[in-house]
Amino acid sequence: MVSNDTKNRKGSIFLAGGGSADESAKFDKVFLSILHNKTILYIPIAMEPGYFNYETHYDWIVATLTRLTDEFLSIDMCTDLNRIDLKKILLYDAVYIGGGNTYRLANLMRASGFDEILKEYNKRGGVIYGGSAGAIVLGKYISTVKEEDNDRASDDKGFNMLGGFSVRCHFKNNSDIQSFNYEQLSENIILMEDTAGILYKESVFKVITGDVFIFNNETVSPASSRF
Amino acid sequence: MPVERINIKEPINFPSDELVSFLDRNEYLLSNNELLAGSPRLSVANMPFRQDNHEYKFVDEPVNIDAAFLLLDPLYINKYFESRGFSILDTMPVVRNDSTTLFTSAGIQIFESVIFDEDTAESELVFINQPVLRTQYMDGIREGNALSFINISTGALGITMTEHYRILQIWLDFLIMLGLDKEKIYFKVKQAERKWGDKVMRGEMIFIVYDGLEIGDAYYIPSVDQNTRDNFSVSDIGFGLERIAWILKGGSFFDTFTGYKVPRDVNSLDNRVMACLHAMIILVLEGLSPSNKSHGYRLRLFSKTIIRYVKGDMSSVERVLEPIISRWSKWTNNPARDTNDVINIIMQENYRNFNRLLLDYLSQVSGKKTSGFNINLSTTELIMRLRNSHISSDIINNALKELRYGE
Repeated sequence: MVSNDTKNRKGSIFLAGGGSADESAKFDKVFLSILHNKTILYIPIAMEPGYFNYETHYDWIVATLTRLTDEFLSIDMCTDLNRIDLKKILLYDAVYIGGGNTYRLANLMRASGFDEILKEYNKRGGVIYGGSAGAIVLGKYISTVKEEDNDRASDDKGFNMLGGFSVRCHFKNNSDIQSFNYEQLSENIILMEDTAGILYKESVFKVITGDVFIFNNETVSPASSRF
Repeated sequence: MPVERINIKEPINFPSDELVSFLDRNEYLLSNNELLAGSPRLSVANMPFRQDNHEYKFVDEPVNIDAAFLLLDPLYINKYFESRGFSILDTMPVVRNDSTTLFTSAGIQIFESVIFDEDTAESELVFINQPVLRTQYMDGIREGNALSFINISTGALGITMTEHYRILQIWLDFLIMLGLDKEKIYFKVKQAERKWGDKVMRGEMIFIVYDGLEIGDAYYIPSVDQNTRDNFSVSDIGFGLERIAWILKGGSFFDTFTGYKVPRDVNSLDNRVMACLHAMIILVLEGLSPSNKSHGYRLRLFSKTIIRYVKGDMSSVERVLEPIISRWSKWTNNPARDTNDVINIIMQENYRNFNRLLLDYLSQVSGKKTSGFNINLSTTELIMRLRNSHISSDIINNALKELRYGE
């Protein structure tokens, strides 16, 4: 639950590069350590439902997080954002947004109004963890991964919760940014490798794990530990 | 094994000729479906589908109460499908190891080793009464939705789509034999592409709906990739036994789980508590113990959900356990514990989680730390230790009253 002592401060935002459970373990431990009641709402809808809908997604999040602590983690999953409102979401310490297709995620969140609920939740101190697509969607633009826009007609705007920065995950080398729409994406793009983990708090980005780069005016340069 | 070599890159003709023929022949209707609206080939009905607040007529106007009681016996259903040429298979454990899922989610998983390990199937036309667990619906528990239920299902390998619809016909004949009104059965169809493990299953999916309630689905996958042999087709048709029983008997959906032995007007437990209890029972029956990780995590999660609603008032929970255990025991081949053991483990876990709730509450109202107290003690022992602690008796008494302990 969002506690009274944080409700007047924006909550932290954890951005994960989207690597494996092992690659994100150190970063995930930091995330879990700040949760007072260890209550997490997991949102897997960036991915299409599987043969058993989202059952295996729930198996995955439980396995990924519970192995990192001996404390009980209360993990709920929401696959229908129309069922959740601000009052319900405030019962959780954190909202964990999983990876998949960024445009699918953004479209579903906007259609249900959950983007606004999420912003208000964070304003009131709620913690957000975004993995891969879950991180990208929080940025200014999601056209950093335009190749994921299957309809080629979607809104390229993200939720702009990262101080004007956009994000691209799974960054390997400069060929990953060839597809950038330069007009939209000329500056302030965070490029995260799979092992990267960033904590965004009080308008400052702190690199916790892995390698992070910044794209500005056609140049890629390593990010400093705080920026 | 008969094989079908189909190039899965070619789009499946949707809706298939076989589906259209099946619906026309039987004069069945489709629900409103944007994809098919205006189709000259199919009749479309304006019927609700999956609406949260839909009022089902059968709740107050049961269809066939006698048939609902017949469905309490797995042998009754087995007999029907055996007479139609299906091999009746033993149920799988709900708790799985070395599988694509932690828990059995559907009867079709009986073919998991055939599909993924390329084993030989013992039989290619099977029926199974399979208890399943689906935690993903925790936030949607209500009348008609549970965490665990019996997935009665048929599976077939290497058959044509025509044969798949013949099997669906067998199912519909079964439902009508039970007493369901054919005029109230309709379908919703879609092309589906669903990932199972590392395989993508593409095919035609039909939802079978009765009076706005989805009761089953039929999925035909023309070609499942294999590495060492030819691809083959899969027919997966399954229904929720309890939803069918609900239609037949009316009243509360959760009554089926107690074998109709605990009427809902006597037992006032919240639906979420009932759903979590059923799920706990099937897992504990199979030998699972609660923990903070892996399979046992689910048990603890369900217990904590129960405590969130009942708090310290466990009397109704204890009363309802035995009939539910008795009911589930008939449907599992894998009981590892007897009734008394199951009750003891469940109540011990519930009280453990109540202890946690009590300590957290006391910490909040008193401002004093309670982290030194052991939640694994009996609640009686824990309260005694609390009374000997730095927390005042008044605060403890008020907390116990507020949390309904001893009611």
